[in-house]
Amino acid sequence: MAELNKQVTPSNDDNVLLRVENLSQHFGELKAVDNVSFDIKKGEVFGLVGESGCGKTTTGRSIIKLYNITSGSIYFKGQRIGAGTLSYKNAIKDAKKKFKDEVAELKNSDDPDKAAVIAEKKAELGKLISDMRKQIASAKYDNSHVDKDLITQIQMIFQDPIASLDPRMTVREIISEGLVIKGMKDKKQIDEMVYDVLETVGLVREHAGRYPHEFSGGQRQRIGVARSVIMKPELIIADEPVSALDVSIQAQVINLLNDLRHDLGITILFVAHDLSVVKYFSDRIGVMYFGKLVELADSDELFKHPLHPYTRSLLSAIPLPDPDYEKNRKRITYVPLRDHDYSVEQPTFREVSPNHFVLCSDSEEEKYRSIIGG
Amino acid sequence: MANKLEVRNLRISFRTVSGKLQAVRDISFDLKDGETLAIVGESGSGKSVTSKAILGILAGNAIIDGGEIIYDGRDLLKIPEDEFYKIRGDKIAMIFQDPLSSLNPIMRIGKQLTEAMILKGKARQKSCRKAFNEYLARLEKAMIKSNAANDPEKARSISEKCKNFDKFEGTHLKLETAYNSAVNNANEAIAEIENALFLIEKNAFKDEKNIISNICELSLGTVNDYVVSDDSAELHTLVSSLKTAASASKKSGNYDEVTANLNKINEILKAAIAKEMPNFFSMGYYLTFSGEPLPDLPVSELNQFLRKYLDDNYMLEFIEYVENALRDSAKEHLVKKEAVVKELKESLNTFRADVYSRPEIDTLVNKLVKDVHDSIDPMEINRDSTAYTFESSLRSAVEVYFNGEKQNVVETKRYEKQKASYDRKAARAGGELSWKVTPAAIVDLQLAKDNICTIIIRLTEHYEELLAQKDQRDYGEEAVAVIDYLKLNASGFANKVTRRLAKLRALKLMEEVGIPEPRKRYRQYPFEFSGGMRQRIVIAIALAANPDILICDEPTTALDVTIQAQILELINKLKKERNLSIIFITHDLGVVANMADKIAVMYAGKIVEYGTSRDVFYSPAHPYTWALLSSMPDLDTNEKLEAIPGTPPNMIYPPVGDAFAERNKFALKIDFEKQPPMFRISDTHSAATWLLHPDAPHVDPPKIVTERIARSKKNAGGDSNG
Repeated sequence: MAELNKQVTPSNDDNVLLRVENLSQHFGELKAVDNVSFDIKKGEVFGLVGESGCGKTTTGRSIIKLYNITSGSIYFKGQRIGAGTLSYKNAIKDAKKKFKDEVAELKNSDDPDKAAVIAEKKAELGKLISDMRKQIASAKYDNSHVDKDLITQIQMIFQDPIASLDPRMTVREIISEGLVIKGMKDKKQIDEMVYDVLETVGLVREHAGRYPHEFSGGQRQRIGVARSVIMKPELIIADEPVSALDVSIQAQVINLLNDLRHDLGITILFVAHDLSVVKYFSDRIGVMYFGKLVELADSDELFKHPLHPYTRSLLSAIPLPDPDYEKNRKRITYVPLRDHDYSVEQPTFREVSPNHFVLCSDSEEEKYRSIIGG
Repeated sequence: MANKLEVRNLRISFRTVSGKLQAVRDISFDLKDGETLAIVGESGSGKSVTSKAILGILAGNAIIDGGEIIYDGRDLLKIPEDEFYKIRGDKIAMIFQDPLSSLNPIMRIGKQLTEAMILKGKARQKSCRKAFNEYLARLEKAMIKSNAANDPEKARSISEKCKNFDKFEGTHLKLETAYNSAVNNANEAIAEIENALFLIEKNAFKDEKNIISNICELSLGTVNDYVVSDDSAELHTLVSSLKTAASASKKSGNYDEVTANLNKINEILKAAIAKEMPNFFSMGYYLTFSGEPLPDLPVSELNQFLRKYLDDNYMLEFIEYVENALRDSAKEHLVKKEAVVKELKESLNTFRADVYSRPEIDTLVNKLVKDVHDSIDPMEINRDSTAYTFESSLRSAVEVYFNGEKQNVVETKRYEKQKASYDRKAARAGGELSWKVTPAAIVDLQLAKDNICTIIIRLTEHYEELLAQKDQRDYGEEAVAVIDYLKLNASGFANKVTRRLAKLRALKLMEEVGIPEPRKRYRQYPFEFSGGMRQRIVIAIALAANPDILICDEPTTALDVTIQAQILELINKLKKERNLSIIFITHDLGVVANMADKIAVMYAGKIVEYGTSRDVFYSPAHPYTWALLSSMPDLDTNEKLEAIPGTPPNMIYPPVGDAFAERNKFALKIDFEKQPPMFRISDTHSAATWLLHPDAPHVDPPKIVTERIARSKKNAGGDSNG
């Protein structure tokens, strides 16, 4: 079953908060995310980088169930919160096709007990189909019966602080909306919680009665952070939280997220394209290219030994505040057809050194190992 | 390097419901030829307002309180709107920050790209024609005057020559345009062929029908007398056999024949573009006036022959006439300039007087303006900015003085009246009232006077400089420059931008800025593009008109690193190719380090630090620059970032002292009381902070900044050693 080839990154400890297994998200023909697997450990910041349109935002949104995923599974705290069915359906389709071909071949042959063989094969197929149907049913069940309390422990911060806040709601209403939806009725208690969280994110309680347009960009993003923090999440998916902000305000928001992480122990999936910020903020980094995860490593390791040619090209494009360095910086370009030869063998996701995974073929793996070894 | 754009003492404010918001407070900078100036600062610091003022697209509630923006001998703040049409988009173009709101959602991308090209193309044709005709007429007059004052025969021959220039210039341009388009086609075809060969080799040849037909079209477009001429028959057969081979190989999957064909075409084209380019200028003259066909010679000999023919029959004499004309005209105007300098110096006494009388000043201004205008040499190709803007500067400065005089009287009266009323009411209430009397807004008349004097002194010094250099002028060289100027304008009106040409150029631009499948994308609407792609379209539109100055307002903020790097490389490449001057507005210091030659750090409507990019990054002097540098992580940062506390001040009530003082942990007491002047650190570097005052205590920049500087110095040193 080639479609189910598990590319799960083995985790050495049970400390895994979120596990993404063979996640695919297709929009019609477009494979926005294609067979992506990774783990996020408790308390870490996991950075996801890549150019726009590579599927990093889609990955984040799939995790929080803004989309019904096409294929794969997502586990949060050991429970499956999202599952797709395409891989099972494909397995059934392929098995049926294989069966048909084999039967046709057998019928033409002059094997004496071909009827018995065919019957055997049919039974095999029937078993596989019923297995897969069970899987599909369980995936569908898991998808629609997610524990509401569990899913609210994943929260999201959006990229654009202007577009993601309703202009007709006061800050109090925006921040408390999640609580209200969850069924909290005590107004006084809600207000107390709102004031608390406002102070956590560096705003003051007087701000609760104002509207979003009265705030500056950085303050708006703080409201976005407050909205997610009030739900007491274990995992925050921060989708480019700083890229729409000024430098000085970027620093404020990054410092705020850093404090939240240390004080409240929140795990963060940090989706961004500014590599200096990702490097500064993340413990581990995954690099995505056209829907595929091409490299995954600890952030220092990734910057020290970038292996995949795409990662190299990405790192060579980072502008740094150093004019002399900038004058001499040579950008590496990535051309998949030139850089890889996958005519013989399709690449898979492999661990080339401890905790350093790369999407590569056999020959490339050897090459990468020698680079790290040397 | 000459200044392309000068901004002097620009002050802009906005009328708002709650008061007058001072967005730009007295900034000055120069933009030199082929230079990139980066303006850095937080949002709300006045960066975008400055750039919008340069482009003349300030919002309706903006008030220009003073200053000048000088471009091409004109003050952009004072020219009428219909003249600005010719500059905006054509000479000065802008890449806007938000690609979503700067594209029209209901127009196809192709239309948006070509619209400006076609409109501007027409306008450019007209203006070039006008400039050409006017200059040639002036030149003719001057030439007759200085070369053939009493010789009607010679005068007629000069007129004849001028007319002929126009004629053979037309022939020259036709030939040259055809040649250029053939060479362009050849280059493009070679690129396409190599791409196709690469794809065939990698077994990834898709969309072959389009690629092959594109190659065929391009290769046939190279047939020209001077590009592919002898081989044209062979090329035709190759192309037709390529077409049949391609359709056959699509079925069989065997691409050998296609490859062979492509290789052969490639060879022919490469040989063709390696040929020497003929001298079309002289060829145009020969074909127009000799009445004989071209002699059959190899290109290099042909060039020599044509050159000699042109020189003997026309050019040497023409240049001599032009030279004489230029010399006489310059001499005549230099005398006038000398007189003007004297006059200006005398006028200073009147302007420095304590009391101005309106009629006296008005007559003096009128006389000065007229004399200065007369002293400008009409034969100069490059406009003399200082002289041309003298009139508008002087008149507006004088206006400021007289308006101020009037306003002061009114304001003082108002203040006294309100103060009396306040005192009366306060006495009745026994204490202070809940409201205050707005202090009188008194215009500093002395300052206004000083401004007038500065304008006069500036012109005086400029003229004195010109007079001092008068002996070193090489009129021969200037005459050649004049011919080039005429040629340039002629090519401007000969190159018509048709719809088809515009489409081709748009497709090429789209490819240049990295949009895949431009032919398909050309017909799509903006909503079908991703953010990065939209931004590329915006950049392509800005570049479409081939501008002189490009203003980039955060062009890459919304893009990811690879695309950002591509776009920056693209801008840098275009800058080099077209000698563009760029104003680059951003808050990303990494990008600034990459792009900028000079950096202006802006805060609260003022430039707080100004210097070359090395100055600002390696020896930053202003605490705000330190704060910006330390709030941004780089790849080696581990410590906590130092965010700038608080927000920028409310510019309706700008602070009295240094605007940054409240957020500045290094602030001195004087920072809250008095605005620091610009302190000069070196010839290229200056900063407005009291820390640079000799009496100030010594303060080191934050650790994160010093460490980074040390690190980059070490890296640089390591590189040179290794």
